[in-house]
Amino acid sequence: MARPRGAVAVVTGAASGQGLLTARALASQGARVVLVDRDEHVYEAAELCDGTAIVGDVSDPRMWDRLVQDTTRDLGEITALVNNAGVFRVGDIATTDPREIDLLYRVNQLAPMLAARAVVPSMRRARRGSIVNISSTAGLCGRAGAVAYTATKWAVRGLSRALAAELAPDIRVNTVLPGLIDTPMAAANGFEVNTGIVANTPLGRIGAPAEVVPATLFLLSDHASFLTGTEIVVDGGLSA
Amino acid sequence: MNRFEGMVAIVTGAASGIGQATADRLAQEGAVVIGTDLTASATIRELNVAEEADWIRTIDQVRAEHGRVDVLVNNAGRGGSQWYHELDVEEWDRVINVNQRGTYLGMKHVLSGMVDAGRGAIVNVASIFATHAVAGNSAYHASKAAVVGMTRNAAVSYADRGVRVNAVAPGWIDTPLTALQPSELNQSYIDATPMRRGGVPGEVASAIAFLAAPEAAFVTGTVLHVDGGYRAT
Ligand SMILES: NC(=O)c1ccc[n+]([C@@H]2O[C@H](COP(=O)([O-])OP(=O)(O)OC[C@H]3O[C@@H](n4cnc5c(N)ncnc54)[C@H](O)[C@@H]3O)[C@@H](O)[C@H]2O)c1
Ligand SMILES: NC(=O)c1ccc[n+]([C@@H]2O[C@H](COP(=O)([O-])OP(=O)(O)OC[C@H]3O[C@@H](n4cnc5c(N)ncnc54)[C@H](O)[C@@H]3O)[C@@H](O)[C@H]2O)c1
Repeated sequence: MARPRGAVAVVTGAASGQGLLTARALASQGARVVLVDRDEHVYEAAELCDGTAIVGDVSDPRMWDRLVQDTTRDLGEITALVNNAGVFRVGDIATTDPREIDLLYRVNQLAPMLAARAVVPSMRRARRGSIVNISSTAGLCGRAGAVAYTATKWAVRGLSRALAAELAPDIRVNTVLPGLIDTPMAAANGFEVNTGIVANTPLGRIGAPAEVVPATLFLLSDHASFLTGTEIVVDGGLSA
Repeated sequence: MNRFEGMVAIVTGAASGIGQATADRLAQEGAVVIGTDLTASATIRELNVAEEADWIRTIDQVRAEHGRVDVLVNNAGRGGSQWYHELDVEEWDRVINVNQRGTYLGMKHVLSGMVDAGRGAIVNVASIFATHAVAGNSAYHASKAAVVGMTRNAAVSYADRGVRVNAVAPGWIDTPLTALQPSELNQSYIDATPMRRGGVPGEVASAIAFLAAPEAAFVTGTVLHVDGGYRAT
């Protein structure tokens, strides 16, 4: 992909699953990658990418201030941001612990906003930037038993569109909406639920995390220069 | 990149604008491209997308020469700007015949071969007006909404046989089609586009290539907007 030299990319939730593969793909294209995760496995992930690991909580605004300060000092202005970190929980709304609702809100919904808030001034100085937020097909419909997750993933779509309008033309903001993808997160659904989702997926299988990465990379690349505020659904036809 | 090495692709409306850029992109990335349009030329075969006989002839030829079709881009299209109360049936039919019937015929005639091969990718060219209304433009809106409906239905219908079907929904793109429109109208679309410019055909070709490529293996039944943020606001 056509990638401007000197791209500096921040990927959250990069210790595992889709985030890790996204970081690796960006590194293989020559970007300098900053990998953020609360999980210390992010150190090993960063070694694979010859990148910088940051152990931290994406819902902490101070973490973002430090990250932007250190990154711009050491690597230059940030030109790409992938808000991929996420948490998933199932549970009936009446019995869900409010702290769990708060966690989902903070990681899935608040964190991408804090990240954009912190990173945009650097992108503006660079006069270019591309942000990809990872939502979910849960952000396209209403799913029983996952009300909090569903609400936060709808919010991600609204965030992307409003940011796209606000930050055009220099900074593009788009959303990727994965369906059921074979990562540790999907395992939380349990076998029965996942069998049901696969049965409803026209392609008839779970997706591989490597199948989501090309959508994110396309949106980050200069080939997507007229795409902003748009969405790529990677779900095997589930939501069609 | 060489994402289309060894693949055979048909692009309709390939003599101009988005179709031409798409044919070029697929060829650059390794595909054998059969570019088609209303009139033949050195690089273009004659195929009126609204004529079933043209499809039968073209697909037969391509199968004879290359054995199969891996990618179809249903791009040929025409505008239509009247309001319903002024729109005569002949004009309605002209627009529907190219944009809707043409897309249906294209899918019809490549799908059996793709199903036999167990693989294939179709990309239909819709429009922001499939999902977003401006006044007038009645037949065009109807035909492009139909393209989205056909895309989703075909995606669900053929997924288990290895064929993916997606659409792009371009915003205002600088092509001979839009050059024919009044400049105030063109400016009004650009003013409503957050990026404050029109797109160029190559920017739509990039999105079509992404959807058609093997790397989009888990993407089917989607509509990808290429619109500078038009729909987001
Ligand atoms: N797997 C699926 O089926 C699926 C479907 C749709 C959407 N998604 C979305 O894709 C994204 C990636 O998920 P995945 O499937 O790779 O899951 P994953 O669980 O493998 O990875 C998520 C990563 O985010 C990190 N993380 C969680 N909370 C954090 C915090 N507060 N601060 C920093 N890091 C944090 C985790 O440690 C983990 O490494 C998520 O946004 C998820 O909601 C996944
Ligand atoms: N330009 C835009 O702003 C824009 C926006 C949204 C969607 N689109 C769609 O993109 C597609 C390409 O448009 P463009 O802007 O490149 O237009 P264009 O006029 O430059 O090219 C369209 C081509 O289609 C051909 N064509 C027309 N009728 C045909 C038929 N019956 N059979 C075969 N070929 C036929 C024309 O000869 C022409 O070469 C169309 O489907 C159009 O509706 C364009």
